[in-house]
Parts: sequence; C-alpha cells; structure tokens
Amino acid sequence: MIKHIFKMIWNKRGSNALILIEIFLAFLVLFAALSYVIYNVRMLSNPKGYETEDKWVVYLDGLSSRDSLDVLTMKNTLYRELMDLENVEQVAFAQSFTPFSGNRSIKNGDAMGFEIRSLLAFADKDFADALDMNVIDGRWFQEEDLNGTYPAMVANQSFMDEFFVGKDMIDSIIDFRGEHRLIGIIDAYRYLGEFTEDDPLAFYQIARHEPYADNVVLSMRKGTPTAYEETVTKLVASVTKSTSSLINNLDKVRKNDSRDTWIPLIALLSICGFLCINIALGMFGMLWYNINKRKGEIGLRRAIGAHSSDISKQFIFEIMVLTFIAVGLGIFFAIQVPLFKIGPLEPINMYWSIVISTLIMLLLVTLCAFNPSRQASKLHPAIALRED
Amino acid sequence: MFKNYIKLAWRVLSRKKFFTFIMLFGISFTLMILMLITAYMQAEFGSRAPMKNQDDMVVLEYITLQRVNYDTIAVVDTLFENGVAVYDTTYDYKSAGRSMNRSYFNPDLLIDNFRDLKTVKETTIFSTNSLFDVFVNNSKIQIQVNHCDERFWDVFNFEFIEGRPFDLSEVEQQAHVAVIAKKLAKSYFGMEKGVLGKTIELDGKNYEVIGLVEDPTSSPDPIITDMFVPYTHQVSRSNSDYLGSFAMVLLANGRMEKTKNEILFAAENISLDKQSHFNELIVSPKTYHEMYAQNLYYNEDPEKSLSFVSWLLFGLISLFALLPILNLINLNVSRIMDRSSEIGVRKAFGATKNEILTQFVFENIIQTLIGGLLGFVLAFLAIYFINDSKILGSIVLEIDLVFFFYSFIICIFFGVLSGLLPAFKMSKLQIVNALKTNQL
Repeated sequence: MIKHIFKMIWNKRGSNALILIEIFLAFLVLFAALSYVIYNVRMLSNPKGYETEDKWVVYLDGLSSRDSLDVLTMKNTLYRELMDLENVEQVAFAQSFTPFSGNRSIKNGDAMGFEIRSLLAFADKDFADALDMNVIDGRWFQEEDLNGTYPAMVANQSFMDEFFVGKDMIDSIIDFRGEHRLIGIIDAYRYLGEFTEDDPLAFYQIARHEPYADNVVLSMRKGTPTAYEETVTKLVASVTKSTSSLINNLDKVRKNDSRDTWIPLIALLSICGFLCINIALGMFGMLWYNINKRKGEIGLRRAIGAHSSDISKQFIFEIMVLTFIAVGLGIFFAIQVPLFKIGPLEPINMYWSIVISTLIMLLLVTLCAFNPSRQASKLHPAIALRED
Repeated sequence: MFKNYIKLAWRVLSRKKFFTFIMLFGISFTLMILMLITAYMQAEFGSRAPMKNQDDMVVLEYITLQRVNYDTIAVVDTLFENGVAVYDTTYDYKSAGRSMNRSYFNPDLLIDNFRDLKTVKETTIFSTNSLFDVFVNNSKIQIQVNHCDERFWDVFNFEFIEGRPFDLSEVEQQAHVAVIAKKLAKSYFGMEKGVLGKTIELDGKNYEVIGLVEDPTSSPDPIITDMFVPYTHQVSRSNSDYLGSFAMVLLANGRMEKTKNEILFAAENISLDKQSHFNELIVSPKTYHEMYAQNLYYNEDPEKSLSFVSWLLFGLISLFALLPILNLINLNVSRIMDRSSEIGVRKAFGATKNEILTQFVFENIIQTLIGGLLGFVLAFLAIYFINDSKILGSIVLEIDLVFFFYSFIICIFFGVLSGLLPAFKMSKLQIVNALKTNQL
C-alpha cells in the first residue's frame, strides 16, 4: 500500500513538489511566529510578583539637592498626611526601581567565590505590603532590620534558583554588595514589565527618609476615582513645596506598557491565521480539482472491487505522506535553531512551537483532504468510467 | 487583442465562483498586508517632516563610564613528563570584574566635544525625559517636555502652523518660551489654532507659547514630545561632568562612516580626570536606522542590530509573500489544465508559444490587479481603523503616491510570478494531447 502511494506521488512529482514546498514553508512561518507568541504567553503566565490595581506611584523631584534634615522631616510629614487621606491604605517609599519605571540596576560580584549577577532594588519596610507582594519564605523588612548587625536583604526565587540551588539560605549571610543577612524570599518582582524575564533580583532595605527614596508607592482603597489624583498631587505639592512631582496609576501604565507587546502579537497571530486559511482554501481547491481529474482511475478501482472507503483512504494517505515529508523536513531545519541556541529565545519555547506547528499543519491538511476524498469515494463506478 | 484577453479573463473569473473566491481572498489579503507594511515603512522611514534629514542623522544616545579592574591571574597546571610531575604556570593579564554606569550625556560635554566636527554640518542636543502632571478641568494631562537648543529646529524640520521657533538669545537668556504640538494645544487649550501668547504653567513657571507645530506622524522620541522649551531650563542637567539627560543628533555632510569615526576619535580625547573612579569612556554613535533596529533587538554593536533586524524582516516578509504565491501557482497549475482544449484549438490555428504565454500571464495580471484593488480597499479600511484607534501610538499611516506606486509594483510582481509557471507549462502543451482527451 505504502509503496503504491509513493509511486502515485512520484508519478505527479512536479505538482507534488510545489505542494511539498508550500507545506514546508508554511510550517517554517508558523514555527517562527508561534515561537514568539509562546514565549510571550509563557512570560505573561508567570507571576508578576506585585499588584497594579489601585496602586499609584508618586515620583518626587529634586530631593537629592535638598538638605537631608529637611528631607527627613518632609518625608515624615508626607507619610503622615498621605496616610490620613481617606482613600490611601498604605504608603511606602522606594528608590526608582518601582514597577514600569524603566530604570534598572545590575551588579556583578564574586565575593562568595562564584559569580553573582543580579538586578538590584531598594525599598523600605512598607513596600511589600503596599504592592501586595508575595513573600514565600521568611519575611519582608522590618524597622529593626535597619539596626541589625548585618543589613537585611530579600531575594527573589530566581536569585535562589540561580545561585543557591537547594540550599536553605534564610538568615544566612550573603556577600553581595557587602555582607547582608537574607531574611526573606519573594516569588518574583518583574518590575520591567509583564513580558520580561524573571531575572535574579535582590532587594535591599532603605530608610524612608533617605533622599534617594524618591518614589512613593500608594495603595489606594478599591475603586478610587482617577480624579482623586489631583487631591494627592496637591497634597504632595504643599508638603514638598514643589510642583514637579509626577503621579502614575500603575494599572494604566501596565496596560500602556503591555500594549507594545500585544499589538505585534495580535498582528502576528492574525497574519498567521490568515495564512492558514489561505493555504487551507488553496489546498482544498487543488485537491478537489486533482481528485476530480482522476475519475477514471477511481472508476477503474471501484469496478475491480475497491470499497469506497479504500478510495478515500488512498487520497488521504497520499496527502498525509506528502505532509509528513514536508513537516519532517521543516522540523529538521527548525530544530537546528534551539539545538545550536541561535536567536534570543529560550529553546523550550521553540520545542513547544515545533509541536504545535506540526499539529496545526496535520489538522489543516486532514481537514482539506477530507471532503474532496469523500466525494471521490462516493462516485459511482459507471459515472466515473464514462468520463474517459 | 488585449481587449480579448480582458474579456477572456473576466469569463474565466466568473465561471468557477468558488475558485475565484479562493484566489481573490488570497491575493487581496496578502496584498493588503504588504500594503500595510509599505505604509508603515513609509511613515517611519519615508523622510517625512520633521524627519526629512533622517538619512544623514548620527545619534549619540548613551555614554558608558566603566571601571575595569585588571589583574594578573596565575594558573598552575600539573603536567607529567616522563613520569615526573612538572608544574606549568601561565600568567594571564585580564579584566577581573568591572563596574559601569550607562546614562544619557551631560549637555556641556556634548557641546564641547562634538559640536565642531569637520564632517558634520549641524548638531542639536535635547533631553526628553521631563514629564509634568497638569490638571485641566478635573482631568490629568501628562506633558512630556523636550528641552532642546535652538538648532533643534534646523535638524528636525517641523511644520509650523503658527508662530516661530525660539532662537539662540532666548536659549541663552532662559526665556520662558515654548513651542507646543497640536495635540497639546487641543488637550490643554481645547483649540487647534490661535494659541500664541497664551501661557502654560509648569513647575511654577509660566511658559509663553510662541509657536505651534503639526503633530509628527512617526515615532522617534525627540519629535513626539508635547512641548519644546530652551534646554537651559533643565534643572538637573549637570549632576555629573559626564552623565546627564541629554542626547545629540548630528547631521553628517558626507559619508556616515566618516562622521562616526570622527565622533569616536573625539570621544577618545575626552579626559576622565574629573571622575577618577572610572577608567574607560565609551560612546556609540549610530545612524537613525541602527538606533531603530537596536530598539527592536538590542546588540551592543548597532550595526549588528540593524543587520539582524533587516534580515529577519526580509526573511519573514519574503516567506510571507512566497506562501500565497506558491498557493496561487498550485491552484493555477491544476486549473489551467481545464483549458487545454482551448489552447489546443488556438495552437492548431497557428498561435505561437509566446502568444499563449503572454495571454496567460496577462490574464493572471488582470486577476491580481482585481485582487489588488480589493486589497487596496481593505488596506484603506485597515489604515483608517489603525489611525482612528491610535494603536500605533503617534504613527499615522498615510496613503500617498509613493504608496500607490509600491502597491502597484507589488501587484504586478505577484501576478507575473504566480502566472508564469502555469502559463509556461501550458504553452509547451502538444496540440494533439491538448485536443485528444477533452471534449470541446
């Protein structure tokens, strides 16, 4: 049977070669597009590590050029007055590594005998509470930690997985930017955006009154209207005696930020969807035509006793063999990319992409071949033979 | 003769509705997407105002200061020579850890070192990272301010709706003047004209509007800001002798390579005395296209970014266009057999191979042009939708002559390519075979 099918394919090698190339190229396009889509969907499904709904951030300006005592009293007043507002539930201060701020700081160090490369972030004791962060082991900073023998640090899970695999490091000293006591582990803090990798990251404690703690994170009561921003801005302006502070609604910033990824993603998906429909239609038309042209052959086979299901099986088999060859060829080329680690994506995304592209191609071809071959099998031998 | 071909093409199209639908669907959507890509490229790289000089632009965006600690590292290796252990020590002088600081430039550093280069005809410095919250009628407007020098208006050719740019004396005197974009006039004053002389309050200072410019239709950072004021107002502009918040755009008056090399040479001569903590200063001049590519795919070498992005784009677009073409060829090859009797008759009456070939390619071009027309309508609707919903941010897609031209070329290319192979196959047909099997 198989041998026979190969013979049939070989007999029409010219047009079959074109179909083969088409399936092969469609597979490659699907593979490339889906790799990107899968990468982003996987990023999105990871925890961000913080909430954005009803979270506001106020950026204070020009604190470093002011007198430190002045900043200290101003910060304390600001904290008190903000907490007194009826819609504000929590107030925290942090250095500029708040979500979506676009700032980042990376540090390398090998004081512990091996290379540690990690993102850094600096926040005070209320920060985790204000952003609803998930501390999965140990605890977040407390006031007393500032006076401890060793300053405190909190790392994310990715930091632990990368540098201290399988070790319980809580309350141990980690020598990275000086000796710090690790007091807690958070699940993630992907502050660069929803679609970014969860890179190793370490939090260090800073006091509220430090001049560089110029980002104020506000956790607002649920459903606080946007117009309330003006009240907050006015209060901040009257306390800081400067009108150059900025206020941002994190949820809005997040939506804006992720739009940059969503738009190409949706464009890519719709283009791929269109390509699939286009190819399916073309394939359907072509098969329908080719099968119609082989009426003589069908009639002959039916006349010498082939069952109608044999006929449809033959046509489906033919196109399936062709598809397997094309997709196999496609997989051979596609798999070189993750194997040799070409390109910026992690291999796992591409393996998934290969699996899904293969399934889509097979499904597509089966769907296209099903109707024409069933029609062919329904042909009455007498009618089929009369044609020639 | 061509009239006949057109008639024939129309007949063929209306004969088998389903196949016509498949074909037109494929052609029109493919062409629509190619047209959208063309429109996007036109918007971003089509040298429209205010980016008319984009092909001459060299951008200095970031400065990197770094301290590399070099160390002599001894590696001791034990070798066995004739059964006796021998110690082989190698010394390697290499970098052992580094700390670096990357940021925008200090404006004075840019002016002192890069303003008077020989291969550069004009330079401008600007800083776009100032944002201000302003409340108008209970709603918040976030104003992005561009602090720039007076030469900014020579490098970027904005279209002034009314008023004028600020000049050197206004920059030097820190005059409170501003040029605003139309979108800010709309959101702040609620009008699109007649805003000269009005004031906008930022950080306690009142800026007088002296110019109103048309909103740009592309996306580069320096031009999409809402408001332009003299750079001398930037308060935090000199927190270090090297780092700051400014970038520079230089217009090369010759080859970009020369200008880049001159910039690199000038950068080598900057002394690091004022910041002894660092021992290396790195700048990376890049062209506008390289900067664009670097934003999409970051590589430290901007040229590599550009070549990676362009190859990827080229590959994806050609793959994308190739598929529908193949699809069309496949369809045509199987369909054209239908007409073997017609060809047989024509050949029997003396038509040459070339005539048959021309006829079929011509028919195919007509079909793709119809598909192209449909695609054009679809693209028109899509462009309207995209501009209306502001999906692409500040980018506005436009339909202009160049767009028409490219779209037409794409259509013809498509038609010839998808029609040639089937037509060639048909034209080779033997008269006897063509006439034998099919009834007329």
